[in-house]
Parts: sequence; C-alpha cells; structure tokens
Amino acid sequence: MTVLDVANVTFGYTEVDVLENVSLTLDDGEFLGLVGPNGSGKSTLLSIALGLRRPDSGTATLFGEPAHAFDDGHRIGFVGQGVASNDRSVPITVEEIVRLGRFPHAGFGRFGPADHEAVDRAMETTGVAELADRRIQSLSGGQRQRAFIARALAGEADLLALDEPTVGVDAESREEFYSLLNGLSADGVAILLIEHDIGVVTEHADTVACVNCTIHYHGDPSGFGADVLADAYGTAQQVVHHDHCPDHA
Amino acid sequence: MTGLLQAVVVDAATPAVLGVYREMLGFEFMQRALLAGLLVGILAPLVGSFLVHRRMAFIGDTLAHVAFAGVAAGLFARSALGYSQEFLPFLTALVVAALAAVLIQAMADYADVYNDVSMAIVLSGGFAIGTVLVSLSGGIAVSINQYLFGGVTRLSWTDVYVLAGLTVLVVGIVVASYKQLLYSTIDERAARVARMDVDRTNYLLVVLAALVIVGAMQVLGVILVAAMLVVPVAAAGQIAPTFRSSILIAIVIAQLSTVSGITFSYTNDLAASGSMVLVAIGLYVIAVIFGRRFRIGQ
Repeated sequence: MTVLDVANVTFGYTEVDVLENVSLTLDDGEFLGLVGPNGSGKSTLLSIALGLRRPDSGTATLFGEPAHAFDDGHRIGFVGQGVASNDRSVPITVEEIVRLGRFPHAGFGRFGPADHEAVDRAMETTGVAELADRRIQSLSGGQRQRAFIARALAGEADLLALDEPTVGVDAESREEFYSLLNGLSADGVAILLIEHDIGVVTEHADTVACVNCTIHYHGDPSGFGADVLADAYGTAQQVVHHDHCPDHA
Repeated sequence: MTGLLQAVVVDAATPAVLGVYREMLGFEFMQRALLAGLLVGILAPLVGSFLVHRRMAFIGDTLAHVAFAGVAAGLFARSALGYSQEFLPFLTALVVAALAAVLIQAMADYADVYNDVSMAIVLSGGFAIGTVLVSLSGGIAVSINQYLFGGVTRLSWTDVYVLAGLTVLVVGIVVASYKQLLYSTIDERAARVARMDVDRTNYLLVVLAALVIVGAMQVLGVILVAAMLVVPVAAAGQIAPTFRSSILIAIVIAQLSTVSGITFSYTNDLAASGSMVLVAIGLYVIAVIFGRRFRIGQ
C-alpha cells in the first residue's frame, strides 16, 4: 500500500521555487533515503509530504488522504533535526519523552494499560528502558536519538519520518541506529529518512531519492553514482563508503 | 549535634516565628496578603513552566508592561470620565494584555520565531502609552504606584476572590490541556506532525500568561511580576527529576518565596514584592548549587 505520495509538487517561500515538479512515493515497509545538498529543499519536501505545508501546485497524500487534511496523527512518527544535540535544559525524562508518542491516542483522557504497554515496549525495542528515569539532556547523542525513536514507536506509527537525526551522534551509535531502522522497515514500517551522509543511506536504504529543487535520482541505491552527484551537487563529489569514520559526501 | 541544633534553632525560633504569624494573621489585610501570595505562587509557576521551557520567559515582562497601559486607561477612564467602577483598571488591563498576547503570537507565527525586537517594541510601546495616559490625568499617581510596585497589603477581599477564581480557571485549563501544552513545548514540529492542535495551544498559552500577569500584577507590581513566572521555574529545572515534578517543585518554591517574602517585609517594614522576588532568586541560587553538587539529571 502506498503510504506517502507526492505528485508534481512545486513550492516556493518567495517567488523563487524551492521545489519544482517533484514526485515521490513511499510504500509499506519501504526504507527511502532522501539526500541532497544544503538548501536543496529536503526539509521543505518532508514538510509538504507530512501535510505541514501545502504545495503551490501538485498534490501530497498520506495513506490515501490529502496530507494537509490527514488527522490520524499517531500513524506518523517524527524525529526532527537536532534531537541529538544538548542545547536545552528542559527537565524531562526519557519516559516522559516516549509518553508524548501516545498523546494522540490518549486524547484528553488518562493513560490506559495499552498506553503504558506501548511505552514500555517502545523503550525495550530501542534499548532505552534502563534509561527511563534519566533526564534527557544527561544522555549521549545516540541515547537521546533512540529515546526520540522510541517516542515515534510508542505511537505505533506506520510511517517514520526522520529529518537528519544523526547529527551529533557518534559512529557506533549511528550503526546501531541504522540497524534499528532496518529492523523496523522489515516489520512493515515505512521509513523516510533525510540524511546528509550519502554513503550510509546507499548502504542501508531500499531506495534513494536525490533532490535539489528537482528530483535528480529516485531508485535503487546501486544505481546512485558519481554522475547523479555531479548533476545534483554541481561539483565533483564522491560517495564515501565507510565504517566508523566521519561522514562527508 | 541534632539535639543541640534543635534546641538552638527550632525550639528558639519556632515560638518566635509562630508569634510573628499569630500577630500577622491578626490583621485582615495580612490575611488577604498571604492568601493572594499563595494564589500567585500557584498561578505564576504553573503557566511559567511552559513559557520558560519554550524560551519565552521575556513575554511575561512584555505583557506586564502592556497591561500597565490597560491599567492607566482604566484609571484614566475612572478619574477623567467619571466612571466609578472599582474594577475598571483590572478589566482594562486584562483586555489589553490578552489582546497584546494574541498580537505577539500572531507576529511570532508570521515571522516563525519569537522576535525579541518586536517584543521589546510592544513592551516599551505599552509602557509609553501608560505613562502618557497617566500624565493626561495628573491625579492618579498614587494608585499607579500600587500597580508599578505591587500593593499586597492594599488588596480587598474582592481582589482575593477574583484571584482565587482566576486560579481555579487557569489550573483547570492547564490540567485539561496538559498533553497539548507539554508536547508543543518539548517538540513543536513533532507535535504538529502528530496532529496536536499546536496553533490553538500557542494562543491559549499566551492568553493564560496574560491572565496570570494581570492577576499577579496587583500583588507584585508591573516591574517584578514576571519574576514569579520565571525564577521558581528556573530553580525547579535545576533539581526536578521529571517535568511533572518540576511544575510542583516550582509551585513549592514560589509558595516559599511569597510567604517568606511577605513575612519578611512585614517584620522589617520592607517592600513586599521586592522581598518575594529576592527570596525566589536566593532559592534559585541554592537550587543551582544543590543541583550541581548532587549532579541531578546527570
């Protein structure tokens, strides 16, 4: 089943278009990596796909409904930029963060047994159960990121959208993180990941899309090569396949 | 050692402290002052907990200074135009502060960020309108003083009842909207993706802030009222193990600040609002040291 469908989308914050005639689809259990240079419109495309912004032209649908009118919030899990950085001093624990994922389910009412079970299960799956009572800013970048993934899982989301979640995370935690995503995708969760590290995306994702105002590539990671990079990024680039080394594409 | 400490501190101090409270509570105006202090100590940190962690601490000051224009308009209308309603300044302050809150939120939505420059313009603009209105009618300087610096001992029972009603209203709204307030405070974008009504929640929060500011203004004064929204919350953030407990701890710190500040001002004949805020800042410093010492949250 098609989870997310963006068709012929054009959008601009000003008169200059950030996205031009962009089309993208994501199916059940598919792991799509979205790459592109800084300012290429990746996050804008994600906002449109998730219904937070409406395109100037074209359509965006979520689970078959117009994205902006889709209101089943618990079906989408979202992890944004900077979740791994330690720039806030809000006194909130890992468990409180994960519980947020159940809020669309619980509505105005109190948490029931199903909510508590989902929170516990999500923390077990992501390996943060033993950190449940720790304040979020006391954790490492990798642990923090897993807590935010757990928040998305607690909602039992069918679609997981991640906007550069690995910034500030060490290489080992990143590997664990991608294994976790591959596991979730195998369980049928559709994953849309924005990532600046092209090497990692081509290694783990089922499909890769490269955007820079328009879609420069959309398909199997094996076909994503230097010609696409030169086309989208404009300069001589290469994909760095690496294990545990700093990321640069 | 403990026995000695008890003999020296507790046994000696307790009757003295109890004596002070017995004497204070013998005066009705002090009963009203303490009750009002307790109510402000619930209201301000409750709403402040969501403002501070959104980095909107400055909005309290802005709304207070704008509310001053509302007070001045009410006093002006009362004295110059001959209206005699005692509550007019309170009502005009409430309306003006709530409108300013909505305006600030609309500007933030438009610019996608809380802009400190536009906030500063609204703040000084509000205060400027207030001072012009005050100068237009020369005879209201005395009552203005009460609004600027607080007049906890000058409150009527009606003032206290209104504050109590406001407390019930605000606590009820925060409890009912807790999930929306918390989610959009912690991660606004994720809350939008989860289809929480973030826009409505943002407007609700700033209007609640306006209600609290105007309610607490008579106790603390325009200039110091925002401190009670910010300082106890900042202190609680240093030592609280969870977000929920941080709200309760902030309320306890605010209660300690208002009650001991009012008591201290009574026994030493000092400004009550200043005393309350200084106690709160003292407790903040203690919380910072305590939090570091025991590495709370680490």
